[in-house]
Amino acid sequence: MRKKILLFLLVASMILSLTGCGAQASTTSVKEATSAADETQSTKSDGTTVAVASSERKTVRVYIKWTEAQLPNWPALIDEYNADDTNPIKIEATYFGSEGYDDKIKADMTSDDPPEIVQLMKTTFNEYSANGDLLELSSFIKDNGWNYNKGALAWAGPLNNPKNEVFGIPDFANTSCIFYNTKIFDELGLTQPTDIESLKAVSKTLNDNGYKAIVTGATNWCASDLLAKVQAQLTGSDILVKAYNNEAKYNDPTLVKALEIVNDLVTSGVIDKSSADYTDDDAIAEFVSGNAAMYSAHTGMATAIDSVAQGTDFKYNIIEKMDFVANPLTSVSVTWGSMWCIPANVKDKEAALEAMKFLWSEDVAKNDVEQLGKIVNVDAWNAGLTHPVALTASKQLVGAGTADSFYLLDMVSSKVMDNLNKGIQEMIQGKATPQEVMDNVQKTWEEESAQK
Amino acid sequence: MKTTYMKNKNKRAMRWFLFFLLPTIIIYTLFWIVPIIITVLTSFTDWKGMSKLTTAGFVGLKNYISLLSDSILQISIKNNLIYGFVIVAVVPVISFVIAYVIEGFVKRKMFFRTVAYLPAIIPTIVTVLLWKWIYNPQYGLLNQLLELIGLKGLETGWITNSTTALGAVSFTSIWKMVPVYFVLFLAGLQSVPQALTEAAVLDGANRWQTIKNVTIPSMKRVISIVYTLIFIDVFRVFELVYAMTKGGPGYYNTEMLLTYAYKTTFANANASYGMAITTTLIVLVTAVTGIQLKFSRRNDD
Repeated sequence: MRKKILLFLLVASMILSLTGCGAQASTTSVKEATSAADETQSTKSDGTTVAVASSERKTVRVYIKWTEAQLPNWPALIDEYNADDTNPIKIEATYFGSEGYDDKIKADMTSDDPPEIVQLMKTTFNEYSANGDLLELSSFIKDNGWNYNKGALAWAGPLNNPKNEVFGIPDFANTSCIFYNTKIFDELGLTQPTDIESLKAVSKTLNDNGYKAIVTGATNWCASDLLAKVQAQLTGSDILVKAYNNEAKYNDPTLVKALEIVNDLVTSGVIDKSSADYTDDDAIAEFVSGNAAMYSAHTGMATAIDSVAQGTDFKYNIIEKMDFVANPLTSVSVTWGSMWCIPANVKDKEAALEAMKFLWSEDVAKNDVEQLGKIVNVDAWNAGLTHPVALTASKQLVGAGTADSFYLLDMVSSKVMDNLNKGIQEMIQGKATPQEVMDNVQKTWEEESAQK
Repeated sequence: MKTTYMKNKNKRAMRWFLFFLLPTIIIYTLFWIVPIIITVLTSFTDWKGMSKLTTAGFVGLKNYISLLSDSILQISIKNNLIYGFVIVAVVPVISFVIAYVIEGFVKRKMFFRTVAYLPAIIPTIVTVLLWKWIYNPQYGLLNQLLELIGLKGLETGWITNSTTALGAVSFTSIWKMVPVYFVLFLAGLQSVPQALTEAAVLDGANRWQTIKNVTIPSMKRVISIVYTLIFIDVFRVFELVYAMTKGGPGYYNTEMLLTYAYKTTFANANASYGMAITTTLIVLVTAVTGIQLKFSRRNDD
């Protein structure tokens, strides 16, 4: 009997603990809901953006895919904003880090009370904006007088976007580039290449002196950055939009030609074949250790290079002008890193817009430029850049960012992007031709279209 | 009178039995049965996973028909079968040999049992990090060893080379799985009646004959369980592959059914199609496991 009582107590405690877990979660929800309700009411009765007492200010949740270490200036800026009682809202930023973020967002975006602002990578952004899950922002941007450069807002909507709607604030400009070791170039008396022929000549000198010319991370997607730039210069974005809308094919001769140019760089020893085995960390290690004189990726990777090169006398920059084709359509290939969006079913639209007005204002953008070395999409705000790479890239971007400069990998579905990256890796390993890679991309897209 | 008393006692025992089972049944139903039902039902819809499930439309067998012409799925099945064949062929043999050696030939049994079991208690993600370092093309232990013994020509990025990746992943899986099954074999070996082994030795049987005619037949049930569990494990493989290669390198050289289902559901925003892959996998594993269990029961009889 005693044993039974003990067992009974054990089972009861298990059930209670389970119930307790549930109750704790719902208590928090109820509390949040109640406070939110109070706040909304007070906001409604007061109009929209008037100053209210601190306790009555609506809290706007901002979901961030990066870690706090990637946005070290934001906590202080947000604290300062929140401390000012004349501001109509309070901002609550949550830094999730990339692991599991997309799943978290998916769950929260479909809930009845989604976060007011979410950071979305371009591939997921494409899907959400196509589904009508995001708030249209063009009038908001216009009202604030933010003068974004031409290319920045060209694709701030789904890939089938005839009305040129804007569903997100582009975070920063991230351009496809070739980093080079300035010390090695100086030692060998090399000048920056400007076209394919001079790139091949420079690479030959480097190879003759025992250096790998270009390394890249072909197991990730940085190897595709080079293709993105070649493709942007050769064909522009029209073909990608058409292929996405099934009006053209990814194995179109022009896209195959772009990949053939990249393959030519592999077979001629410009891109070192060891790249096929490298992650970007491996490629950066080769670059910083001086085994390779150049590293092909995008400007966003400068942070990773800096952290590996910390404490060394390693010096580098990006090649200023590189034309892979004669008469290129654009000189740059650019992506935004991410988009900042408001879910369409957000409960308090005014509060969400109010937070956006602050977080992407000139003041915060300039702080990002100075503190983080971000290249923002309003050219005039980039004056505070100091990092050599950012300075070179921002100069390249002035007046150059057009709809054609948009980044290839942001203009295809996730599955196609994955397939293209894999194909390029196979191509560098010598196991697939450019034609086969693009045929495979088209096949994958056709299958995906049929599945959807 | 006694029968009535026994009946009442049994009823009471049954009530307690059900009562104590209740928390498990609730948890099992909530976190196992219900998700499976939702998975199966969702596979008949067009739900992309980016809106509420209630907004999904019924599409009948469309997702299942698409499975037939999905080239990446075909590669995943092929990879899963190759991987499965290697695991099924190698893991039980190595596990048995290690268990047999430790049980029969080693003095410090406890110490060696612990050492042999260590890989099983290391979290999968740590295993992946460890083996990624071993396989690294630049500073990996394996390439350094090859260089040391004069086989520099064989150096490669083991998990980034399309030719070697599946083998490298399978090897890591074997390293991780052997300890788990080694324990089962160890328990099986300990249950083999010593009298039978001694009788066989007295009859002049050598070691191999004893293993073949006494040890293995006495462990039939354990062997059957081991194969059933390995079979399920083979199709359940996910975190090791995903963390190690994400299904790459190159054209899906280590893509498995579950990694593909995961990518389809979450990365490619095609949840219902991902659920169709998962449902097919559930049906396949259940059917084959059922057949396997039926055969093993028949053998037992």
